[in-house]
Amino acid sequence: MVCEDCEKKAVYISLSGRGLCSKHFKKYFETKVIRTIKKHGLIEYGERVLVACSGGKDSTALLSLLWRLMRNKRENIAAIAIDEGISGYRDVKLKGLVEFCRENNIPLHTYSFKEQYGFTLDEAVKISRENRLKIKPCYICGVLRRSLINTYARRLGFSKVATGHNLDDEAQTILMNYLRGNPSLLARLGPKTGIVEDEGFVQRVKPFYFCTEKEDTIYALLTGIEVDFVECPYHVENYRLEIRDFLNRLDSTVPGVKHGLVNNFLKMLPLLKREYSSRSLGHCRVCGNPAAREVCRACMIVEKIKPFLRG
Amino acid sequence: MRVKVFVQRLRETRVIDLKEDSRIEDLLKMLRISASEVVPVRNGVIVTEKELLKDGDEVRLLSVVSGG
Repeated sequence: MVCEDCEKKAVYISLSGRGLCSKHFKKYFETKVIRTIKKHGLIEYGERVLVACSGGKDSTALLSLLWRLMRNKRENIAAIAIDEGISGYRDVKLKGLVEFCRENNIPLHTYSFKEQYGFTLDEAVKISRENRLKIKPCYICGVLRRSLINTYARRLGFSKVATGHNLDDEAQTILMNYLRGNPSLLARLGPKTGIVEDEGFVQRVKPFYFCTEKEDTIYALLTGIEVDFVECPYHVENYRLEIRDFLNRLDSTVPGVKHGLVNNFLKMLPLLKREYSSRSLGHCRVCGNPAAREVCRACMIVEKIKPFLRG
Repeated sequence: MRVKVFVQRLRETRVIDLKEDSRIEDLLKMLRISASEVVPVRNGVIVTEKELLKDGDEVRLLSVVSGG
């Protein structure tokens, strides 16, 4: 198959059946990201953006693209990474990110669970299992990571946090929350997250919102970003994994189901946001971050784990 | 024809016999891998699922899904 624009060998076939060579695929991908940023007002002129990086291909590709797009305002962009303390996984991934940022002179702020909370994720999971606390690894990781990113984005003076979430991630999250009957969580989704505005929240934005995971990967490969496959040891306990495989199987027989799911969801999103925007938010009495309860979910996790720490 | 296939997600290399004029999509079907889950690389070059295979080809199926 050849590229529709120049007849060179295609590296990608779009949903509409259009073949694209490496040069025209990069143009197609970057145009889609820029259009998403503009159409949904993800990053306004002069805003300071902190890119949340995991060391994986999606967030590294996002960092690389935004760094290039903001070449005239580089003082307005930096990367943040959280080391949860997952032995043999996050340390491996962060090594590549540190290298990437050093090579490109991108400022990188790194924080760890150990220095911030006093325990690694590995230690928290062990404590939770041994003491039957019934807190799942992905819950601990996600809640504590988001809390740290929000705290430091605010302290460092950034107005947006950009994440590498793509169309596949969003389709999975929509279906997961839909099947679990969590409409209030659905209302927080979209290219810009959140329902309630609060000065304690730094809004999270998703420039890759309309790009599939396959597109992200091809873009990463074509821009020289290493695409490894290091699996998180806690991944097997993940409900998302089953939903992801289900959607991918369905997408191979009914192409475009993930696009359909996300696009239809976006039509309903304003109604969901209206329904759930009346909820008032307070502030956590421990850390001061916005919270629906007296103590935020991150501090509740820390309160449960800490009594079991030795020493 | 015979091709050598590396499946990144399984970290596994296999040698597979295919009919003449088989394409990457036929290989994926045989391995029960969805096209949206992998980027095929044939002899070091990214290709589409429509790419025709030849005897002796080396194919890497790079996983698009993150490991975490």
